[in-house]
Amino acid sequence: MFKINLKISALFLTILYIVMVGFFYNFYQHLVIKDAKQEVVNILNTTKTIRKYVENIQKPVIYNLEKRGELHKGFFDSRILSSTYIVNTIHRMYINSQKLKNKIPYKFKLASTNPRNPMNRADDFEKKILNKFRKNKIKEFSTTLKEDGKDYFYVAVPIERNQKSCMKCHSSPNIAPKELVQMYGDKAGFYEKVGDLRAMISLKVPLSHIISTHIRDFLITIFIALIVFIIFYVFLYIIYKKNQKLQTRQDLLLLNQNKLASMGEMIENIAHQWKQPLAQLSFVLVNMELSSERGKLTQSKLREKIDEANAQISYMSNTIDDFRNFFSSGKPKEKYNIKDVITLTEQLLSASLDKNKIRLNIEILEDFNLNGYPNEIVQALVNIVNNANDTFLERQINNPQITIKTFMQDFKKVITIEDNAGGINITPVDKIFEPYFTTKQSNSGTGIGLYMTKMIIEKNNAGAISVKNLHTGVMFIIIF
Amino acid sequence: MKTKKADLLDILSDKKVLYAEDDKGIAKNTIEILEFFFQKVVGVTNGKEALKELGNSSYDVLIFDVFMPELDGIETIKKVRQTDKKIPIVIISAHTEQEYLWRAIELKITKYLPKPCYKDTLIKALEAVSLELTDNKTEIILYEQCIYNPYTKTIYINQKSNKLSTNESRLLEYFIKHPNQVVSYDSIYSYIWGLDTPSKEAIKFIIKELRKKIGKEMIENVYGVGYIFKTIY
Repeated sequence: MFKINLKISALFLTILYIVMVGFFYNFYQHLVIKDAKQEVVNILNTTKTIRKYVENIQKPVIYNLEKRGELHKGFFDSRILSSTYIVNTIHRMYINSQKLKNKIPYKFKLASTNPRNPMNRADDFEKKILNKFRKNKIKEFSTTLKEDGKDYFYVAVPIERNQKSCMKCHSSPNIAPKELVQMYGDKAGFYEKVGDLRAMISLKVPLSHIISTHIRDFLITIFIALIVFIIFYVFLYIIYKKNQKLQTRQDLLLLNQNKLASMGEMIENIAHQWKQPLAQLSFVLVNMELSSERGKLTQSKLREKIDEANAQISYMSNTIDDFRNFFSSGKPKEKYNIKDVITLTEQLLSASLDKNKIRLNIEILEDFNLNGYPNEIVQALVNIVNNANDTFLERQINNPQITIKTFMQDFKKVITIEDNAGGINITPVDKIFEPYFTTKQSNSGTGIGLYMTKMIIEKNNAGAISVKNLHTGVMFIIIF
Repeated sequence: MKTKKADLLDILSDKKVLYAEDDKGIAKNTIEILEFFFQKVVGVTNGKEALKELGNSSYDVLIFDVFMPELDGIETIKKVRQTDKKIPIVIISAHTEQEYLWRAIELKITKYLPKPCYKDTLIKALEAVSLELTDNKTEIILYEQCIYNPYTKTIYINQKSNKLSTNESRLLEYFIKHPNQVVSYDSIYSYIWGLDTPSKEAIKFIIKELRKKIGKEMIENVYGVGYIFKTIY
């Protein structure tokens, strides 16, 4: 039988869900960044291609025009001859254009340690990356970084290394176009060598933008997960309720079973308790008949015999009443006295106690009143005593004794039932309160007696029951 | 029919019965009932007391309850049977379980009376006891022309009847049970009076009366010890 704790299940599911959402978030971020990186690298590659176009196609055409004299000597215009200026302008145009849909709000930058335009000077962070590129340690660089309190995804790739064609504008100011030197001076961007890496280009994309493009997928995923979890919880709840219902029905069944079992015993008890008075009645009648036959039945003797018979009849009637009271169910809660309950228990059990020669000591150290169902308490006590009784028989204990005590401890009302039957050799001892648990070899043990006792005490009468081994036996402790 | 039954039960009228029962109410009534039939009824409440009482004086019949504290009826009877194989024993018990019945059979019980008890079964049990006490004989021939009827306590010599007193019949039946052997004064005391021993003269008086009725030569003196009851039968 498995038990569901609804609160713990809910807590567990919630924690699991949170962990899952966190995991999904992380997973999506990684996936999204991977996606974004591809996109950004594409943009950078396109940029590099534009630079290549300017370098290899556009510039030779312009220089050729200059050579043919169609342009004046020393002509320089960054708008058509500076690949850096051109790509910067293209990116700015892209960013500023209003009409583009799904535009990526990135920041483009070319960074160089020897820039022509000081705007393009590499900062410390960029210098480090650039140096890595120069040493050919990496082909591309990507990271997430924080700037002005905003998260960015950052990707950098190196531009093409210096080739011969670059040298016209980047080696010596003497061979560079005159207008270029006039515009930027003779220092910035010069004295480069073939094969060196002059700069890198980078893109910075706000992380929020990257995430926002995929947030819908993420939300849908966690929403579906939430629904799955809720369904799972509802499922658990239904099982729990059904289980509970089943449990209540089972408990009811057990209660009846236990009552029936004790009823059988009670009938045995009644039979036993009626034997002596019935025998006495029979002897009274024989006595009267013989006296009458001999003419010795005087008025006073007749009176005496009738009184004797009546005493026996009322004793029998009382016995029946005791048992009937015990078995009447559906009574409301009532105030009752513990001493009365124990006395009734003793009376109900007297037959089996006599039969097995068990001494029952009752020590009412302190008497008290309780509120609840006295019959059920009697049933609980009967169960405990019967349990001891069975153990006495099974282990053939000499001088069997059961002691019931009542007293007050820490303002609590306590009943203890102690025997000298040798104790419980099961660990933990509490196991004896489990349903269908029995140590008895004979079929007399149904294994529900002590379970019922616990149910009766704890569920119906708001008490607590525990058991412990003593030197010579066990002690059941009932606290109200 | 009725008179015959009454006759049969008359054998008990000079007999002593020991009755053991722990329930006071039942004991009181049963003692009252038994007193209708027996000369003397002694009641005890358990097996130990019963054995003690048996040590103090001798009884003719035992009626025991099975379920008693200290020593139960069956165990008590076992002890009794170790020394006395003959004494009729009746068991009265609420236990009709087979186990008890089997044990009772082993102990050679005259009757097993169940509780609750009815007059007819009780009477039948007492009749069975009477028959056993007389070895099922209604007449005992002491010698030629001398017959003793234990039911009517009467001696017939040559058709002439002579009724015996209670003490005389008790003593005669005691002698019949122990023929041709020395019966000491002590055993006679304890059989007839129990502990409250009267003087030797009382016995001598009963012997004298008995001799008058059955013939002098039947009872022989053994000086300082007791008597021998001589019979050829």
